[in-house]
Formats: sequence, C-alpha cells, structure tokens
Amino acid sequence: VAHLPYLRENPAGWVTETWYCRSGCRRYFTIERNTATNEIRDTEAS
Amino acid sequence: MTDNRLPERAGEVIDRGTSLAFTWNGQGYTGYQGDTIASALASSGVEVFARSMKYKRRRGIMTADHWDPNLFVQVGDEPNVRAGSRRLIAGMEVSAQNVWPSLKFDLGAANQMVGRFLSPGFYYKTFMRPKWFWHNVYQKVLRKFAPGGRIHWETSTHGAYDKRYAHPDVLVAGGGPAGMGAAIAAAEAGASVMLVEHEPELGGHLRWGGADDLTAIAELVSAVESHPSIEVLTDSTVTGRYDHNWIAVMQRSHEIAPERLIKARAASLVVAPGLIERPYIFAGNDTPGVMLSGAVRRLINLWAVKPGTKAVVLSANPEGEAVLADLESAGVEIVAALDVWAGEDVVEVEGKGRVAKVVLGDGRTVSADLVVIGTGWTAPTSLLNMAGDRPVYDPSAARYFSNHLPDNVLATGGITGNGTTAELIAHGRATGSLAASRALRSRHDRRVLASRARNPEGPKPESLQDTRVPLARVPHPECYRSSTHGMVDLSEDVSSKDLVQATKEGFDSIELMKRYTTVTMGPSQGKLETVNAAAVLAEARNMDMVDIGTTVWRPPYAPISLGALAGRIFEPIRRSALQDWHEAHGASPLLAGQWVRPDHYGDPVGESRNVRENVGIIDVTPLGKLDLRGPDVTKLLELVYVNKWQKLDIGRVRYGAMVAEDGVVSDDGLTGRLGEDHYLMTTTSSGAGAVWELLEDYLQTYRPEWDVHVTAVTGGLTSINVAGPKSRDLLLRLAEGVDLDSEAFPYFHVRRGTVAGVADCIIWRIGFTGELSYELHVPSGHALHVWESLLANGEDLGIKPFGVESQRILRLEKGHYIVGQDTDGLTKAPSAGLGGLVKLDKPDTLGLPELKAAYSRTDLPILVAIQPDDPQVVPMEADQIVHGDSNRILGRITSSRMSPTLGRSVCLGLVDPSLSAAGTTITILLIDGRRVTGTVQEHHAHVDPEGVRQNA
Repeated sequence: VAHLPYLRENPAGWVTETWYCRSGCRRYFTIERNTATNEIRDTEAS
Repeated sequence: MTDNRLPERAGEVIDRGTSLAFTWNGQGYTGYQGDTIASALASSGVEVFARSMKYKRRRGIMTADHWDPNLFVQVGDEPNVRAGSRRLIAGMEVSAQNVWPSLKFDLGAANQMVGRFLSPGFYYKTFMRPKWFWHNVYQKVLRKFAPGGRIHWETSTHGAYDKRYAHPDVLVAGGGPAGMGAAIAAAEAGASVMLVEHEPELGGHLRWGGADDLTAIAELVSAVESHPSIEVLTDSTVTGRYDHNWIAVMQRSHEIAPERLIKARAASLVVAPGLIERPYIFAGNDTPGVMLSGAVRRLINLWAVKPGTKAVVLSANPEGEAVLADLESAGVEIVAALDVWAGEDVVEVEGKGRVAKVVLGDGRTVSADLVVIGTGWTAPTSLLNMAGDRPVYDPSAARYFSNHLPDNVLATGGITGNGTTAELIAHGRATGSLAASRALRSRHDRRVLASRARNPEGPKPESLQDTRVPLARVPHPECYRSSTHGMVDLSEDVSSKDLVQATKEGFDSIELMKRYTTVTMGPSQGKLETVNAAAVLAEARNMDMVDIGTTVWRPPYAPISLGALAGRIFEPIRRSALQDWHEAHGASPLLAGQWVRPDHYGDPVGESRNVRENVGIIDVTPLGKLDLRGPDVTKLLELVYVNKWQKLDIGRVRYGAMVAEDGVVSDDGLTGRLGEDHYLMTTTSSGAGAVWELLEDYLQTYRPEWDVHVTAVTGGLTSINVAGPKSRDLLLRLAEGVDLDSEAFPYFHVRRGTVAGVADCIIWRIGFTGELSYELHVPSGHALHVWESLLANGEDLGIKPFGVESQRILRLEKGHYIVGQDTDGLTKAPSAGLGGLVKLDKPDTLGLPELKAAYSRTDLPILVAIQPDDPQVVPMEADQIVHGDSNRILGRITSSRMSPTLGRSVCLGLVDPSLSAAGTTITILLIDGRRVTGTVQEHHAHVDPEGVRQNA
C-alpha cells in the first residue's frame, strides 16, 4: 500500500494544513491548527 | 371530571378568556390558552400520564417542565411530544404512548412481578442465544414493549423545517435574571446580542415567585425588549457549543417552521441556564403525586392548578420552604413539613396510581396524596463541558461548579452560585460587559484581518478585566438517597438497587455503570439523574463524590428532531436557459445533481429512434465547461489527465480521463483547443464543481508559477447537441463562417462560428450518441433563439428534441461509459478500459504512483459490454453477476436498457477478469431470483463499433 494516498500522520498539537474558502474568495491557503484544541493561527506565528 | 383549577393568581400565564378543547385518549377535555398539555390535563384531574419503560409502572407529573421524564405523549401524528412544555392548541389529539394495550390496563405491568428478569445488563445476559431466536422471537415480542410513539410516514403535516445562520457578538443561553442582565449589559456596551430562552417566556425561576420577582421580571423584560441590539428567541434551546463558539440553537414554534436549527457563530457565549431541581431516591419515589418543589410552584403559580389535597413536604433549602406558602394559598393541607437539616426524612411512599400513604423518617405513617421534594439542585453544566470544562464537585454546596473556561465562554447566574435577584442581575450584568468587551475586541481583530487597508472602525476596544465578585456558594446538605432504594432514572427505569448490583458485578466506574445499566441514557439525558447516580456509586464504593467524577455531557443538550437537522437545503437548483421551454413542451423533469433536466418529452424510445434515423437536439448544458487560458494550459492538462496533451493542434479535440490520487477514475471529458493559449475543457455534469476546485487547488498550491486562468462557464454557455444522420444538413442551413464539409471539419474537431445569426458560438464535432453530431455552445442569452431556430429549420428533416433518458439509451448502444455509473469509488483506470490512453512514462500526473501499481495488477475487474442471451430480458442495473449456481459474486451490471436500434437488451458490466474475454458466458442473478445467461461482447459498442456513423 502506498503511503501518500492512504496514510496520514495524526500528531496531537500544531499541524500545517491547506484550507479552502469555498463559499467566499475561493482561495487555498496555508494555516496552522492545533489538533488537540482546534485553535488556529497564521503560519507566520510559528 | 375533577376541577383542580384555582382562582386567578398574580403571575398566571393562562388566558381564562380563551378556552381550548382537545382530546386525551379519545375523551374530550378543555384547557386555557397558555396551558401546557400537562397542566391542562392536571387541571382536569388526570394523574397518570404514562407507563414507564421497563416495568410499565404508572407515572405522572414530576417536574412539570421540558425535562419531566415520563410526560411523553403522542399528539396527532407527532410522537414523543413533551407534555410538560408543549403548549396546548385547540383541537389537539393527545394520547398516551408506550402503553399496550391501554394506559389503564397494561400487559407489561407484569414485568414488575418478574423484576428480577429485568436486572441490569438483562438484555446482554438474556437475549444472547440461541442466535436465531433473536430474529424470530425476541425482536418481535420486545418491539411491542419498546417505548416511543408512532410515526406516520404517509400523513405527516409538519411542513418544511428550516435552518438559519447567525453571527451575534454575544449569545446568551438562558433568559432568567442573570441572563437578561448579561444581555442588557452586553447590548449597552455595543454588542449585538442573541438571547435564547428555553421556556416560552423570559424570567427563569422568577416567573413562579412572589410579587417582587414579578416586578423584577417586568423591568428586565422591558429593558431587553426595548434594546434594538438584542434579539430574543423564546421557546428555543441552545443545544450545543462546538469549536470556535459555533453554537447550535433549536428554535421551536417558529411561525413558518415547526422547528428551526440556527447555526450561530458567537464571539462570546454567556452560559446562564440556572439550576435544575434534583429528585430524591426513596421507595416509591416514582409514584404519581411525588413532585419536585419547582413543579408544585409552577403548577400553582403559572397555571393555577391545585396539585393535590394533602401534602408532605421535604425541604433542604429556601426554595423548598417557599413551596409551603404556595401550597397554603392554594388550599392544600400540609400534613407534614419536614426539614432535612433537622434530620427529618421521607422513607417510603405507598400507592399505585397516586400517593396514598407516606412513611416518614421517624417511623410515622401519614395519609397524603402529594409528596413535595425540595432536596437539591443539579448544575446543568453541558455547555461548559462542551467548552472543555470539567466541573468539580463541591460537597459543602452539594453540586458541581465550573473549573476552567476558555475566554470566549463565560458563566453567570445560579450555575455559578447563589444570590438574591439583585445579586443575580448584577453578576449577569458584569458578565455581559465582560463578554461584550471580549467580543468587540475579537470583532476588531477580524475586521483588521479581513479588510487589511480599510478602516476597522476606530482603535481596538480596551480590554476589560474580570473583576466580577463571585456569587456565594450557600451550604446545602448532600441529600441524595433516603434509607430505602428507589428509582434513579425514571426514563429508563433504573433503580438505585440496580446501580449497587452493577457495582458488585464490577461495573464500578461511572462511565461503565452508565453503559451497563443505561442510567442517564434516556430522554432526560442525565439532567435529573446523573448526580444521583454518582452519589449512589460513591456510597456503594464508600468513596467521595469528588473522586467518582461524572459522565461527560455531550451535545445535544435537548433532543433535536431529524427534520430540523435535515432542514432546508441551501443547495441551489440550477436550470438551463432552455428549461422553461422544455417544461412548456411536456418534458418530464429529472433532478440530476443540482440541475433540473428534461428526462424525456413523453416517448424516450421514439426520441432515440429519431436520432438514429433523422436528427434530434438535446440540451446538455449541465456538462461542465471550464475556459482555460494562458501559456501553461498544456502543462496543467498533462498534470491532471492520464493521457498526453503536448501535440494538440488548434481546432482539435481530445478525450481526457482523470484519476484521483488513489488511481480511481474521477472524471472524464473532452477538451478542445480554440487558440494558441486558449482551451475549452468539458467535464462530467456531476463533476463540474469538483474539477474546477481541483484545477484551482493545483494552480494555487502546487504550481503557483504556472500562468493559467480558469473560468467556469458551465451556465454561461448553453450546450445543445445536434445528433443524427441529418444533423449536418440542418446546420448547413444555419451556420455561417464554418466549413462543415467532413474533410474540412472531421470528427473530434472544434470550430468557432455563427449559428442562426448568433456570433461567438463554439461548434464541436463530438457526441455521446454515436451518430454524426455537432455540439453547439451558445452564449446563454441567445440560447432559446438558437434552439427554436434549429427546430424551425429542421421540421422537414424530422427534427425532435430528445431527453436524458434517450441519450442514456443511445450512449449505451454505443458503449460509452459514465463515470460514477459504470465506475464506482473503487474503479481504477485499468478497469475502465483506458489501457491505450494512460501514459505511465509522463514525468508527473495526478495519481501516477497508484496508476503504476494498478497496471501491475491482474485481479482488477474489467468493464465489458454484455448481451443477455434472451434478448427480451433486461436486467436491472446493479443485478449481480455470479458464478454458476452459487452466490459467489463475480461482478455486476452497471447499465442496462432495451435497445430500440437492435431490438434487444444491451448492458455494460464490471466483471472479474476471468470473465472478461469476448464470448465468455456469464450468469446474471435477477432480482426475482432467476438466473439468466449473457455473453461478453468484443467491443463496448453494441451499435456501430467501427464508428462509421459518427465519422460520416
């Protein structure tokens, strides 16, 4: 089984994600999210 | 019929001028406007409302509010209506549910006598084996005893449920004195406020209080209602708090919908739910006539209903004592007023349909028909739990208090401590100011972020410090169980004895005990029983309550009907510019994804024949269309499609197939090159949105340096396919500036030109039907003109419009597969017969690693054309292809129709590779159980595999 399409790391803590503003500006952008608390922050914060 | 209605009272909410007639189990009753179903029935002397879930014990009013554990009734075709809170409406047909055969005589009551069979874990222990017995016997019998009302699928008259989105700065959950104080202060500070109250009126516990309380309510309500920034939602419940203060509000009795789900994103949430009165455990505590002090006060003061004639009152707090004055004013004789602080107690209640005798702690037995319990409070900490709080038990106050809250959630009122009305309002106001300050600062931050250069309405508001003086925690006795055992969970019929038994069996943690005994798992969801259950467990294990912990309160706080969750769908319905014409000309509508399309115009078979013999036109506007411009379009196409795109000359068209990262076929379509740096890409109708997003994703994140501009033009260009041997003859009459000669404009080419006087049309020589055909992409504003011109000019050629069903027949005859119908979420590229198309030597293609892996496999199913050996048998789509007489599945039929051209049935199917060779006989298992044989064909196309017709 190939790793990329089927398996993802799922760390507790800050991860970098791509979000998509579907109902708004249609931009894809990078954001950081804490998987334990669902806090989000700008990538510049790190 | 007894009349329990009292003379007029100061705070009553009933309108004695408006009498409402309704029925209860078929008998006529009346109540007043403002009554609940329960108060109306109680005013007429009804004492038994239901039978309990397991033991079928008679049950009556206990809390006289939304949480009353046994007041579930059927109203017309609506099951599980809470009689404790549902307001009476004239003509309601109310009946008891969970009774069989009737409320007065219930067969299940025999369960009481065999109570030992219904011990905790009874179902787990008893209905295990033999296995076949479950399906054949247990299930059928048990269903008769299952609680719940009846749903009427056919006759529901509830109309449409609805949804709403809201973005208040501050959302206040609870409209008592603290909640109203918070709303007023927050609004005064400049915040927009949504104030949500569970009951039909604002006021909280002041509503059933004395004259001072009623005056306080009037002042608060007038301040709330006169402030333009406060939106008040009564008869509405905050049912959940999710991440980033995403708040779910269930609004009942809305004027246009029976229930409306409001999804609110609040900058600050103020939690002010007050307290819920807690029942007390003793033998017979579920007998009708045992009521909590709040229930008695509500019945007397709100609805002017006399709850009994001779009362025993057990009280541990001032609210419990206040009930004495109410009872006296209602003319109820007080047989005994017992004080918990003085060691007085109620030990047992005797009586079947109503309290008759009460055994007191000092051993005396007294006659009474009412036992009033005021022994403590449960803090409804659900919303705090959902915000990550883990409340901690305080033994001196005998209830739980908040431990830690995030900045955007604040608590006020009774849930945080005790206070006079003035103290509660003051604490609420301070909390509202704080909530507004935090909300306005966060609003400022968002405006700065979103607008960048624009003026964010002045400087950032000052941060307000939390200087609130906490409300006092007034000492309260820990008062959970008498010396006898009784019911803990009246919804689920779980007694304290059951909990002790579960502890002995080893289910001695609160979470295990809950799941094993189902305590707190009924409709009350722990509001009345969680703390008592923890107390019984603590006692059984000889532990402190603090160390027992509680179960976690999860959303929803109050039940939400499925209709409200489904709500109104905000998905738009899309119509092509020609849909009005279709409907005016007899088209049957077909809902396909977001689109309404013409399924057929009355005769899909005739429409198909006409395409093969003359010429037909079909509206294929939903076909996804993406206009791609820029020097790097070729690179983009190379990336997202499995085939090569380098050498596509201007004016040519190529088929492309797309796979996802897992190698599964995700979309396909034709792309034409209109100019040097200009392509028009088509996608499947259902995949149009997803492909657009995919292209944007790759262009924005993976190859931002590529110069490609994507414009979705699906609705902007109306697509009309002109198909049939006479299609060229027709277009010759209407097209200008295009050489239609087959040599000059062959199959799989695209031109631009004028059609019926409309410039800038794109003319493709492509089609799904296998006939000579042209697809016109017309600017939508002129589409109707072009469509009508085609019909008018083709009359002598036998032109007819055809619909989607006819196109499905024609494309199946031609063997064209549809992604999503003939493929599914597991169909990889080799299965779809894309072998010659896929180029594995490209440097970079979406899904390439998985494609390579897929092409090294020999076990993937193959899409083949199949003809049943009996030409009149038309299998159903999804009929299984099996191995001989066995039920071993070797594939399935994916498309199947009777072919008008061939006069026989034709199919496509996905089959095991062992069956994929041409000439193989396969067995199809029809839905009626018959097995028929079919033969695998050499080509996907049943009609014209050489393509003579489309290349003509």
